[in-house]
Amino acid sequence: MDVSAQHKTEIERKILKEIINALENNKVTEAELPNIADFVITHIDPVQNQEQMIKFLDDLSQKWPFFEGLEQLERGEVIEAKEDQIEQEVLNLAKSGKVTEAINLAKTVTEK
Amino acid sequence: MAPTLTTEQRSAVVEAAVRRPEKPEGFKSETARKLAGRVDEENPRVLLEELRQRRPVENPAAQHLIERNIAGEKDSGGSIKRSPEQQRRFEEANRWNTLNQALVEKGIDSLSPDQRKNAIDQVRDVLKRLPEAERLWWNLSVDQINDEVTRLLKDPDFIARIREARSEATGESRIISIDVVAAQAKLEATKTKKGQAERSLAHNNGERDNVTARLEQFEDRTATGGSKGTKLQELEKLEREAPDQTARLEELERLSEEAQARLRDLENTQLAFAVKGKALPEMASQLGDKRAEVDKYRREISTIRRDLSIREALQREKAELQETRGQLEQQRIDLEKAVNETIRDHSLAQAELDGVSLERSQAEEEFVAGLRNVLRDGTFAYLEDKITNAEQSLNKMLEEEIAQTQDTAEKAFISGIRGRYVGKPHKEKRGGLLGVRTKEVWVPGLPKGEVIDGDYQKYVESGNSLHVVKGLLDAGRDPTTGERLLTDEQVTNLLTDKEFIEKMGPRAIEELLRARLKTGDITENEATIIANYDGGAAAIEAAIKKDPRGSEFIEEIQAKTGEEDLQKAVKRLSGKSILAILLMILSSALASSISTVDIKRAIQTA
Repeated sequence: MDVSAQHKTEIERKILKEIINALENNKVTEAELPNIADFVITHIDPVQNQEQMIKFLDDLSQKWPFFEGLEQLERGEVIEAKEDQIEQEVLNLAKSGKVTEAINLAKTVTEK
Repeated sequence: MAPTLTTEQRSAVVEAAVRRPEKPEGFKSETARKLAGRVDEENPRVLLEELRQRRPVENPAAQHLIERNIAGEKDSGGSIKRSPEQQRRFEEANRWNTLNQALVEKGIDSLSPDQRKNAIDQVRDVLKRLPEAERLWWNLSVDQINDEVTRLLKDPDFIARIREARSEATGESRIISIDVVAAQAKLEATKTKKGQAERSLAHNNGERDNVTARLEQFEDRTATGGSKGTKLQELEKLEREAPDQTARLEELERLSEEAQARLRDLENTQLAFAVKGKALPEMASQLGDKRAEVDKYRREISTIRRDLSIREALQREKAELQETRGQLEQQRIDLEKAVNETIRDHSLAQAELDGVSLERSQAEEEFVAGLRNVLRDGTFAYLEDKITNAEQSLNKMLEEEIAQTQDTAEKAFISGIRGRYVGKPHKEKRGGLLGVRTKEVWVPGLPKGEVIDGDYQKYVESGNSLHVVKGLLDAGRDPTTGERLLTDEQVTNLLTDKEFIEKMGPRAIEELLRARLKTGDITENEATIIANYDGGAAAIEAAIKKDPRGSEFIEEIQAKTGEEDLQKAVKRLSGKSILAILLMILSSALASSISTVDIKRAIQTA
């Protein structure tokens, strides 16, 4: 799924809030901020879809662990969106009488 | 990779991740406080860009210099704490250093929008001091002017000058060696001494108070309506009684000795009787009486001796207290002197620290100003180079022309141009008091500006080139001897030589206008006046025809006015167009560095 410019802006805002919290809790030093900002600006611009966004946030968390929560949040939202999509597809299959296919599709989510 | 979460876990993470921060004013971190105050109000990209700009420069030497020069105190943990003023200077130094470094190493396109604006503004402000630039940019928009400045900022020669200015601003000579720490240590030492002296004085005061209080018991305050101290009363009483007591004591001692002698006799007598086996009952009674008498004398002697002893003790106590008070008083004088000395030393050390701190602050400010002025200084250096080269080149051309010219009058005329209108730019120190805070201001004009201005004003007022030609002929000098080439009489004769004036008049005006453009302003109105003088129009025509783009000029001017005769066509142009032409054909080589105005635009849009 593609990532909109608005969503990128929201992610940037959330990143800043994580930085504020990390600064207050001494999880990051001021000296690190330029590197973080540079990493974010350099890596978020090429992001086009949610998978790439997850990858970007994962890389960010690897470098600065205090972003893990944000990465998990984004990952969860992607999964939720995917589940919603599959749920709709399962319903559509069931409505059209394709019960077996619907069950198999539903299992792809529930058996994880 | 982090694990995926359940919906509940996600909710918790959401709350943690996107929760609004506490009230910004409660934050410990200044940066966190500032960010929190803006994060919901502004584009987050802007804030990220600002954070990125804090990246330290990749020049350890310059960075080290900044760290060293703008040094705060180290706290107990060893980290540097800067005062708010120092922090401001530190940040400004880093900001300019980062800009300068990025500019010279990566070019203007690598700069952030803010850095780019700062760089362009600084360079443009310097260029605008040039009369030529002011006029060359007369019809350009702000964006167009900024484009011209940006073009210059991409010029490798220009960047080389900026690099040199930067090296100068971050070189070893910029190390600040004013030592505040030594002055602080000195102040601390005087503070400790002062504290010790004050404590000693306080101790002395306590002791003196105690002695004074004890001496009060020996004081006679009856003269002032008070009473006598208790010990004084006692002492006086004992002293009054002392003579009688002493006499009585002597008497008692005698009586006591007599009584004791009698008692010994009685005891011996009693013993003798007892040995003989006799008893004298009255003897026992006499012995008892005598013993009682002796005891009575002893008690009275003891009482008197005790009183005399008390009197001596009181006298001794009084004397000792008076002596102690005297000693303590002397000590007080010495200690107060010591305290005053330590107070003076402390004040001097404080003043010294204040002076050194001020000196250090000024040095730090100057250091920051050096970094801030790298672009300005580099631009000055670049312009100075360009102008010097242009003047040298012009000088050389005139020298060659002088050497090739056989005619003495023409030689004198060209020599006059060289001596009167060619020079080089210079810097002047302005402002400040007694050399403090003076600024070195680059003066774009020539040292001969006043001479040129005088010639120019006379010409604009009169339209007569004779005085210009006369000035040049008078200034003509032999290049080897420095002697005048023409006598006054020869000059006067030449000024009446119509052929000579027709030949040299336009050249004189051309050179005057060229010199004027380098040193001052030509207004549009003046341009119109000059073009409408026959000599002026002829000078403009001659200059156009000498210019490599001459034919292009002529074509455009004729197209614009519909007039074939060039002098007449020039007279029909607007003041703006005439001025634009003058700037393009007579401006120095510098003009091409700061303006790319094309002929068509100059003439057609005017």
